[in-house]
Amino acid sequence: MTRSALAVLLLACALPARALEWVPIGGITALGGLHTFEGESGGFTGNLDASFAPAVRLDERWSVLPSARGVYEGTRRLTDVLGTATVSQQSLEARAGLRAVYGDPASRWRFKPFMSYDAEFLKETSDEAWGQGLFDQRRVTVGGEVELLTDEPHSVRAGADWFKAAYPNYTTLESQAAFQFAGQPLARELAGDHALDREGYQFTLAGDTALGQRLRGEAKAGVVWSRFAEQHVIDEGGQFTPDVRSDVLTDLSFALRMPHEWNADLRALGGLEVGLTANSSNQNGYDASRGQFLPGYYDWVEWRVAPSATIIIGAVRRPVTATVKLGWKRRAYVHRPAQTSTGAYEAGTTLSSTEYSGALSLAYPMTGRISLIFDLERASASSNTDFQAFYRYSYQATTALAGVRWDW
Amino acid sequence: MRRFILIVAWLACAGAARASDGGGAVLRQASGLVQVRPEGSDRWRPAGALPRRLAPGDAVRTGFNARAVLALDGGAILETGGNTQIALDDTVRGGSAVGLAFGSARLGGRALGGRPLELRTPTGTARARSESVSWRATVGGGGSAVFEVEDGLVAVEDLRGGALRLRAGERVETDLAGLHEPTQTPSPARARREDFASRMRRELANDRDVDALQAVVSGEQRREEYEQGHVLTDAAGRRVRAEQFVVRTSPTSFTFVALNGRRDAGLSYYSWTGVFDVALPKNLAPVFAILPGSAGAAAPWTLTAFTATSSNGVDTLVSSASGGHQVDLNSNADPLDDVSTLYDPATDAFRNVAGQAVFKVLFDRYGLYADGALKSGVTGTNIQAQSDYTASTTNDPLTGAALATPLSVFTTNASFPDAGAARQQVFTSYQDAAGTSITVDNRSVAFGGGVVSRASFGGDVSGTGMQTGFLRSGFQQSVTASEFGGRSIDVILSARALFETPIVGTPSVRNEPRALQ
Repeated sequence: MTRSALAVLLLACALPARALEWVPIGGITALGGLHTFEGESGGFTGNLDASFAPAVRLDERWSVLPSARGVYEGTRRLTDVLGTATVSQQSLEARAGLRAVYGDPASRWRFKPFMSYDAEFLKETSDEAWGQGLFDQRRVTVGGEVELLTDEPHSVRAGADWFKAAYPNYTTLESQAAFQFAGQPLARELAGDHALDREGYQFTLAGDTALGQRLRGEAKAGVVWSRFAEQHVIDEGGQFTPDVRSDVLTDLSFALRMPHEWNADLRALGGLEVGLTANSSNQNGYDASRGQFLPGYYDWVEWRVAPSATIIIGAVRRPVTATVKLGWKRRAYVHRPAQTSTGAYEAGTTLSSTEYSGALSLAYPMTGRISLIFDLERASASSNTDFQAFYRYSYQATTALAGVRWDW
Repeated sequence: MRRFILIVAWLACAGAARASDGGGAVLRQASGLVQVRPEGSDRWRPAGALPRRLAPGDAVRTGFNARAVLALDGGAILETGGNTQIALDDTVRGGSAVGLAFGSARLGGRALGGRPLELRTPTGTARARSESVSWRATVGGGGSAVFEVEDGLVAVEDLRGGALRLRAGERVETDLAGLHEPTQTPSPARARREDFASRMRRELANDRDVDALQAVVSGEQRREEYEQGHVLTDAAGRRVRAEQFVVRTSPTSFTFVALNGRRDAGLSYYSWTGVFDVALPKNLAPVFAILPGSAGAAAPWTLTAFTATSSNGVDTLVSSASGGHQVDLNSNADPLDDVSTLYDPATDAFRNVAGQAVFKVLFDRYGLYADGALKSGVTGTNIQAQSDYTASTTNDPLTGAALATPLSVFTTNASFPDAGAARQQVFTSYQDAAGTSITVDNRSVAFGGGVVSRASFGGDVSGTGMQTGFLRSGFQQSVTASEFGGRSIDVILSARALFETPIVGTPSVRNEPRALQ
C-alpha cells in the first residue's frame, strides 16, 4: 500500500514537471566610469545591473515570468534628474516581479496579469547611509495588460495597474514640529507627515507596426494618476485646504525606425523619437518669505526629439554595434514664473529650460555572450531663470562608462 | 514506321506531362480565414468548397493563425502558415513554382524525377536539388527571407546572382544585400525554446516599461523638493532639510516659520510672529511688502508687536517687541535715522526713497533673551526716533519686572573674518560679570556645500550690495551665546526674512544681532 502511494505521488509530481518548460533569461552589465557636473567629478565609480527571469511555460496557454533585478548606480547617468547636482550620488534598486501570460495559440489576444515590488535606496551625499536616504522608496504595483497581435511581432497593448509608492524616511518637518514644539504655533492645521507617499492608477497604450517596406513605427501613451493622501492643497494664504493633492502625468511618444542593409556584414538602423510629457496638478506653491502665492506650480509640459543612428557590423548573432544618439528636450512650466538671480519672480515670464544631449555607445562582442560596452554621454542645459541656489537648471554634465555585459 | 511511332509516343507523353505539370495546384485543406484571388482579378474571395482547383497565376492568402495546404501539380505539397500570401507561377516548364509574398510556407516533394520545384521570395529563390526535398521559408520586413532546409538539398539564389546550396539542418537569410552566411537550423525543440525565450524577453521589456513612467514621477517628486529648497547642503557639507511656511494664528497675526532638520541633530528653526492692529487679508503678499517700511504714505496695517525666535530645540534666542507704531523717519527730528533705500520683497530691489516720507514701525518696548536670560532691552513712550530709546538696566523692558542684576552695557562688532568667503560675523560682547557674548555667523552657502566666495558680493561687506549677495544663494545663520553651553543654533532660511524683520536699534548699536544690515 505504501509502495503504491509512493508511486502515485511520484507520478503526480512527475506529470507537471514533464509539462513544465523553463528558459532562463537574464544578464549582467558591469560598468565603471566617471560623472562630471559643471566640471566637478564624483570620482571613479561603477554601475551594476543584474537581472534574472526564469520564464516558465506551464502549457500551451499559460506562461509565467518571475523576475528579479538589482541595479547599483554609482556613476550618474544623464537620464537622471541632474539639477540636484550631487555628483557622489549612489542608488540601489531591487525589484521582484511576477507576470503571467495567457494566450490561446489560435487567438490573437494575450492577457497578462502582473505584480511587482520595487525598493529603491538613494545616497545623495557621502554622509548618508544605505537605508536612510530621504528619497528611499518602496513601490507595489498590481495590474494587467491585454495584447492584440496584429502582425507578429507587431502588436497593440493596453494596460492598467494600481500602485502605491511610499517614502519611509520622508516625513515633513512641519509635522515633526507639531509634536516637538507643542504649545508654539509652528505647524499649520492639516499638515501631513508622509507628504510624498502616493497611490493611484496607471494606464498605458502601446503599439508597433510596419510602415511600408522600410519603416517601423512605435507609439506609446501613458497616464499616471497619483493621489497624495497626506499632502493638502495650499491656498492663496499659504494655508492647507481639506483637498489633497492629485497629479496627472501624461506621456506620449512616437518612434520611427528605419533598418537598412548595405551587405550581410554592414547594416544600420536609423531612428527618430518624438515625445511629449505633461504634468497637471491641483497643488499650488507658496513662497513664505514674501507671501507669494504660486498657482499651478507643478504644471509643466516637456517636448523631446531624439534622432539616432546605429551601425551594425558583423554576423547577426554577434555584431559590433555603434550608436550615436542626439537629444533635444524643452520643458515649459505653465504657470511658474521665472526668477531673477535673487529669486524675485518675473511677471509675465514663465520658467522654461532646454537641454541638448549627445550619446555615443559601442558594444563589441567578445567570447560567448560577453560584450565590451563603452558609453559616453554629454548634456548641456540652459534656462531663463537665474535663481539656481537650490536646483541647477543650467549645467554641463558628462558621463563616461566602460565595462562588460553578459547576456543569457 | 518504328521511328514515327516513337515520335508520336514521345509527343503523347510530353503532352500528358505538360497537362499534369502545368503550374496549377489543388487547394486541399483550409482552416481559418483562407481567401483566393483568381488570376486577373483584384478581388479576394473565400476559398469555398474544397478541394478547389487553382490555376497558374491564382493567389492564396491566409489570415491570423489560419492554414492552407496545396497539392501542386507534379506532386509537391505546399503548406502555408497564418498571415501569408502565395501565388502560383507557371514560368517553370515541367515543374512548379510558387511565389511567397509574405508570411511563411513549407514546400516539399518526393520522387521529383528532375522536375523543377521553386519557391520565390522578394529577395531570394530556393530550388529543389534532390529527389526528395523539404524546406521552409519565411518572408519578413523589407522582403528579407529565411530558408531552412529540413530534408534533401536546396539551392538558394539571391537577387545579385549569389548562390549556395543548403543541406538538411541548414538555414540562410537573404535580403536586398544578398545572401548571409548559412548557419545550422535549430532543432524543433530548440526553435520552440528560442521562440519562447524571445517572447519572454519581450514580456520582460514590457514589464520594465510599466516602471518607466513611475520613475518619471519619482524623479519629479525629488526635483520638486530641490527646486523649493527643501533639500540643501549646509556650509559644513551636511544634508539639511528646510521648510518655510506661514501659520495664521489669528485674523490680526501670522507667523513665518523656517524649519531645518539635520540627521542626528533634530530640528532647528527661526520663527517670526507679527501682531497687527487690524485684520489682515488672506493674501499676505501686500503685508510682507510693507514690513520693511512704506514710502509715501503709512501702511494700512501697523505691526504692533513681534517675537522672533531662533532655536535648536534646546536653546533659544528670542527678541520681542511691543507698542509698535508707524513713524515717518525722514520727517522726524532725528536726521541720523533717515532712510535712503527701502527693500521691496516682491522684487528684491532696493528703492531709492531719499527725500520721501518713509514710514517704519518703532516699538516702545524691546527685549533680547538668550535661553530666557534678558541680554538687552530698550523702552520709551511713543518713540518717534531711534535716538529716543532708553536702554533698559534694572527692569525687564516688556514686563517691567525688576531684574536681579542690572543689565550691562554691550558693544557690537560686525566683520568679515575670512578674506575670501562671504561670511559675516556679528559679535556682541556684554560687559557683565561673566563676560558673556552672542555671536551670529551669517554665511552665503555654496551650491552643494561650503561658503561662496566674497567676490560674488562684488566686494560689498555692508548695505544693499551685501544684502543682494545673501539673497543669491542659500543663507545660513548660526547663533551661539554664552548661555548655550557650547551649542549653536543653525538655521538655513531665506535672508529675505531677516530684511523684513523690523530692526530695533541702529547698525552702530545692534539690539537685534540677527538683523542683516
